[in-house]
Amino acid sequence: MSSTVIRCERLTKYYGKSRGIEDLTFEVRPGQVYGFLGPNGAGKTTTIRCLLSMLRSTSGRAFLFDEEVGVDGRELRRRIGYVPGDVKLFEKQTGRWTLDYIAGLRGGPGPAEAEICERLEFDPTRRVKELSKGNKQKLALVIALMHEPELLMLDEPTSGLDPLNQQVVFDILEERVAKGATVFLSSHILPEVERVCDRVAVIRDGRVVAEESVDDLLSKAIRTVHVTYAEPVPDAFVDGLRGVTSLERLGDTGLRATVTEDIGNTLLGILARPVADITVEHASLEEVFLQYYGHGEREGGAS
Amino acid sequence: MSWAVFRSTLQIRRTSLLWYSFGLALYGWFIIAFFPLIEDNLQYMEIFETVFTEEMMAIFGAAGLNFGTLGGFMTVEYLGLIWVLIVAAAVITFAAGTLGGAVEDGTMELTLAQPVSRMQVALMRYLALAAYAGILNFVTVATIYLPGLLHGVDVPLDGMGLLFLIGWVVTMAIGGFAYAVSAFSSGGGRTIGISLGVLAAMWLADVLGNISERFDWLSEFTLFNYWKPDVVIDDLTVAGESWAVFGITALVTFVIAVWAFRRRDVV
Repeated sequence: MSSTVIRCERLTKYYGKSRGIEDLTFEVRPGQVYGFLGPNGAGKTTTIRCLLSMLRSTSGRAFLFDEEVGVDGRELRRRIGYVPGDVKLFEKQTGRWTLDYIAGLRGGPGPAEAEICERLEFDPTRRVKELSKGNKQKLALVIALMHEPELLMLDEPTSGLDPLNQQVVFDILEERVAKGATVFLSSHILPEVERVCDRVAVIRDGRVVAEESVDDLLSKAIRTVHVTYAEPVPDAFVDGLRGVTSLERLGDTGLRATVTEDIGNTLLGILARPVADITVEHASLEEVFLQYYGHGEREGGAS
Repeated sequence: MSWAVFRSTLQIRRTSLLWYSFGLALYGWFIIAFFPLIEDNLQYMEIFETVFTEEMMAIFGAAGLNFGTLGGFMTVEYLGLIWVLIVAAAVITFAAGTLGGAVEDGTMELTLAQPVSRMQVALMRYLALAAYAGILNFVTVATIYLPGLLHGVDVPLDGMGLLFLIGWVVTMAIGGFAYAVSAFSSGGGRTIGISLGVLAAMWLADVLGNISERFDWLSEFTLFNYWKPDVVIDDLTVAGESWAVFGITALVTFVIAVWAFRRRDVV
């Protein structure tokens, strides 16, 4: 069994002079659901395309199942199911034709084809050009899942799907992971990532700026503390609180504070006065994400 | 080998193959049906030939040709230029869509995400191009030979066999060139533009070479100089240099296409 399913070592891709990804280093272990986070243009799709040998890296190395990715990579791709971020299909052909074409390339029909079609309620008899965006996405999902690959590389896999079908997709992914599959999920829909991933890399301007488990990432991140004091507290007390990132007075007795580090000591300070009620909220992944990106830095660069 | 790539490439283009075949069949039948009329009125054709200047004859690809023979007549009216244009349009469009066009419309990404190598894709799509060209050439000779029987024209069967072979190699030389251009580009339009542009430039160079001694040397560099269907039909021969020029072009352009396609980014 491979020790890593995906490994990138200082992987770099430039499109002429413009940056795609730079010095990207991370690894995905067997059985992980690995989230690859970043806004449009951060380099998520470029990374996946380098891993699938569709783009030639400028420098650095990429490995799949501990084998270095070359220009061919045919046998490696036998073990991979891929949903592209922007699904493109043979528009004049039917879904059935497309599935048969993929089956021909993979040496036989996908054992899970009928089941996935049924669960996603996808009708393969219609021509691709007649399908809605959601149905094209379903076809891409059937293509990726029907051969039950060991690694699923999914670039925005639920794009265009309604909530019910999104749920079906997550159910299927959970079942596949339970059977030993690894999932590499590129997304900017953070609740989706938070829900299914156990480890994430945050990519910004083509570089990985954070890479850890979802739990660790969240535990290090912002908490919001809501306090209602038993009696009015003076401004001097509030101003003297240490370790808070921002503070907001809510009347004479209320306070909302955001804390990014050393939550224990900050809470001790807050609790120095009699408290009627207190809640501590963990940040969502979305808020963590915004910590890394700030506001207004969401676009540009490669996709 | 991935025959799924070969099959699908042809399946996708079956409608265009049908239309090009229909066009060739109709045109071939129309021209061969005319030949008995021309044969019976050769004296008028000789007058007709004297009316035109040598330059005019060259423009229509008729310089030095004899209207009275089946080969000469078919070359002037069909095989010398019109046929070249029809099959060139067919194979250039085909080649443009199979590599660069597929990168542009995103279907190459779908294909190469599967366990198939770029070498296999390039080889199988070239073989599909060869089959496509083969069908067009078969239709060409079949729709000269069979209507010829119907209209009492003595069309040599071995001449048609030879015409099929050299025609197929010519078509592959044109298609191979477009295929190589397609391997470098990320869109079908550019391939079509460049390939048709080169073909048009060759035709102009051939005309110029035929009408002016000063530019005689230009003919050496054109495809049309080595494409002599009149000799194939009337004398049942193909010059060795024609086989060499078209065959080597078809082969070299294929090697260039594979080399380029294996090295490029495909999205």
